[in-house]
Amino acid sequence: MEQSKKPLKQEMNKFPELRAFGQKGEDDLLSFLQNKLSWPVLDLNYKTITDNTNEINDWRDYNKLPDFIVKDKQGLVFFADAKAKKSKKLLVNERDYDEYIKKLIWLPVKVYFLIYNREGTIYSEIYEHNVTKEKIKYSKSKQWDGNTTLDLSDYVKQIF
Amino acid sequence: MGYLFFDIETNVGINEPESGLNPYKEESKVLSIAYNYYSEFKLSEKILKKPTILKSWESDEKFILEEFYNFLKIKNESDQHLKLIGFNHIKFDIPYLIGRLNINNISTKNEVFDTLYRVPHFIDLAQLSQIVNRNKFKEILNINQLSANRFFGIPLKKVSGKKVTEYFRNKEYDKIIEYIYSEFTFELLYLKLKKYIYGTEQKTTEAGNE
Repeated sequence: MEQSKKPLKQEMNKFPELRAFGQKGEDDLLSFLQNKLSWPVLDLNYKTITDNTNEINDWRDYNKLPDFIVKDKQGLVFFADAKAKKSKKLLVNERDYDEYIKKLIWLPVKVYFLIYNREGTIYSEIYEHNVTKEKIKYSKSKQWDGNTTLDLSDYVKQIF
Repeated sequence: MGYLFFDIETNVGINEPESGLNPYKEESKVLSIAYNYYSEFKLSEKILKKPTILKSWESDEKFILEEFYNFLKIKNESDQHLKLIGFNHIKFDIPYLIGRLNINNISTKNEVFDTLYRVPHFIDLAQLSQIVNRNKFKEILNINQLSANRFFGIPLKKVSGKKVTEYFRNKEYDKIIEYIYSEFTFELLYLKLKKYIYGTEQKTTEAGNE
C-alpha cells in the first residue's frame, strides 16, 4: 500500500506542541464563556484518533466536531470552536471551515480566536466569527505548510 | 495596559434634535457603538485593525448597550491600566452612554458609574488636539475631528454625523457602516498626536516625571 506523504508540521514534530496550545485555547475559552459571560456550555470533549497520535496523518478521514455547544444570554444555542493564536492573523484552514459549514444544518457555528502572548501562556484578546456559507468573501492564501487558509480578520466581533 | 478606542452614533430625533446629544429625551437612542481594543503596551500603525460595530438595527439599543457594558466590565477587571480613548468622549460619549445605560436599567447606577467613569483611564483626543489649533487669537480653543485629521494628513470622513440618523430612518445600514469606518481614525490620530508631543524619540525626562 502506498504510504501518503506526511504533513510538514508532522515531519517537524510540531504536533504535540500545537495540540497542547490548542487544548489551552479550549480550556481558556470554556472558562471565559462560563465564568466571565455566565453562559451555559456543554463540553463535547469529542476526541478523534488524531487528537492523541502523531502517526496517523490522514486526519481528513475523521469527522471533527466543534469543541462546545453553548447557549448565550439571548437563548441562542450554537457550536463553538476555539482557535489559539500567537498573532492577530485570524486565519483558519479552509478544510476546517468546510467542516464548520457542514455543521450549520444542525446549529449555528461560531469560531473564537484567542490571542496569546509570545509564550502562549496568557490571552489578551478574543474575537468571535459567525460561520456563514458565503466562504467566497474571505481572502484565501496558501501557507508555508501547504494548507489553504481563509482570512476572517474583517468578519469578527471583538468580545474581549 | 491596553487601549480601548470607541465611538457612538446617536439618534437625532425629528421633534427633538437635541436627543442626539442629550440621553434623557424621548427620542434619545444609541444607534451603534464602535470599538477596538488593543492589548499591546505600545500601539503602532502596523497592528491597526477594523473596529467591532454593535448595531442597534440588528437587535435593539438595550442589547448593544449591554454587550458593550459587559465588554468594558470584563476588561476593567483584567486590565487595571485600561485607557478609554475617543474624540470628545469625556463630554459626549461617556455621559450619553451612562444616561442610556441607566434608562435601560442595564445595571445599578453605582456600578455603571464605576465601570464607565471611575475605573478606566481617559485620553480624550479632542482635548489633546487643541495643541494643533492654529487660531488668530493664539488661544487654546476647541477643535473638531475634521480639523485635527486635516492637520495630520489623516483621511477625512465625507459626510457629517447628522446623516447617520437619516440613513437609519431610511434603513440604509451599509451607509452607516461606511460612515463609521471612515470616522474611526482615532488610533491614527492618537499616534500622530503622540509623535507631535514627544517627537520621534521619546525624551527620558518628561515634564512631571523628572
